[in-house]
Amino acid sequence: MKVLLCEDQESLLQAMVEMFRFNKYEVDSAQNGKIALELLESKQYDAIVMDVMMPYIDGITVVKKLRENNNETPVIMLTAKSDIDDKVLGLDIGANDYLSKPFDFKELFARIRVITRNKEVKKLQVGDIILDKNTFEIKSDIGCFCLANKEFKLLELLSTSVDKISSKKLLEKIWTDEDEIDESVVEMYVIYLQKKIKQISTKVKIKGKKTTGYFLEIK
Amino acid sequence: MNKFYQEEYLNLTKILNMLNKKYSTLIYAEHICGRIKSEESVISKLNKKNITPTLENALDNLNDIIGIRIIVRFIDDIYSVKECVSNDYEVINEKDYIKKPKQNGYRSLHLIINYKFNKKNYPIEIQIRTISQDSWASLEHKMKYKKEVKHLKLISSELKRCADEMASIDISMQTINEMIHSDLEEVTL
Repeated sequence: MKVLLCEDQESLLQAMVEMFRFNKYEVDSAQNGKIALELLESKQYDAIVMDVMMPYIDGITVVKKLRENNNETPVIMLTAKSDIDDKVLGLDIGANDYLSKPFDFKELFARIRVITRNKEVKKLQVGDIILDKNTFEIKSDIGCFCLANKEFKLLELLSTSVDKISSKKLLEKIWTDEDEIDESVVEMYVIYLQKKIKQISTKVKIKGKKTTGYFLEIK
Repeated sequence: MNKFYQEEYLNLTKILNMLNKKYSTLIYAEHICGRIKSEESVISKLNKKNITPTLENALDNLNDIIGIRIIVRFIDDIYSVKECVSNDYEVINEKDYIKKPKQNGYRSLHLIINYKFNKKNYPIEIQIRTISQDSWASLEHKMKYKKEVKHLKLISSELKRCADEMASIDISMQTINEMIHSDLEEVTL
């Protein structure tokens, strides 16, 4: 597992690098937000440990930029013990968890395991169908379809959400690389999926409308 | 005169031509083809069933001595063709490998109809499938009948993946076709 460690205190960063390597993690380190962003642009990580207070660009800004670019790599923020506002802000802009300094490495590793747990799941059981994240297949006892990338992402988002998701939100999350596109594309992809799911499943249905948003119903 | 089918060959040819002519004018049909089963295939199939390979046994026991294949553009067209065939003839058997694909990924709709000709009943197999299903099946057929295929496991699993991708695209194409002709709200599920 590859982790990016961002911390401006050199001694702490050094200790973190050593501890992570000792625990068989592959690590890169950054002493400020600017280096962190450069690394994140060129490399993929399974998790990020991010100090809030850093020179040049702070940790909050790095996470904000990351999420704006639809990079969903899980992040743990390191905050000062007293600073509740930093914790709240960090979680609000898209960090997955936080840990107050000083911290115990045992706890940090446990939290890393938690935030990366979902990522390790390559197959998702949804009612009577299985979503295979490696192959973009949806399978059941009846049959199997190999979905297009965005179709699969759409189904994955709907399967992992408890609430209805609006067409606007789905468009923002999935069609990130296209500018001149409107919400009818979401409707169209929902219909693709509805038809395909109908063929292989007796329990799963995508319900909802363009105007109200969509959700997955599992009987 | 065909050595195996003898006088019967003329009847079979007539039936094949009539069916070919009838269904090639269907608006759904992209193209249509047909064949009379070769002597070699008939004998091999009867042997597999432990039946003495005679013409009489072939006519009594095989449903696909005459086979017609109708290729259509969209999945829904398959079922429209099925409706036409059912209106024209008695369907004595149906296997829907689209709703329940074979393990290797094969998709197609197979009908056996009863064709009455000269006071005799002839079972005829009609396969209906989309262009992409047909293209897949012809490739799979090549693999099946080649004696030695290198990387058989890899090729089989890749063919299966392609079948599942093509099936997915067939449904997307169907939806786009419906959208061209109506609003999204009216697209049938």
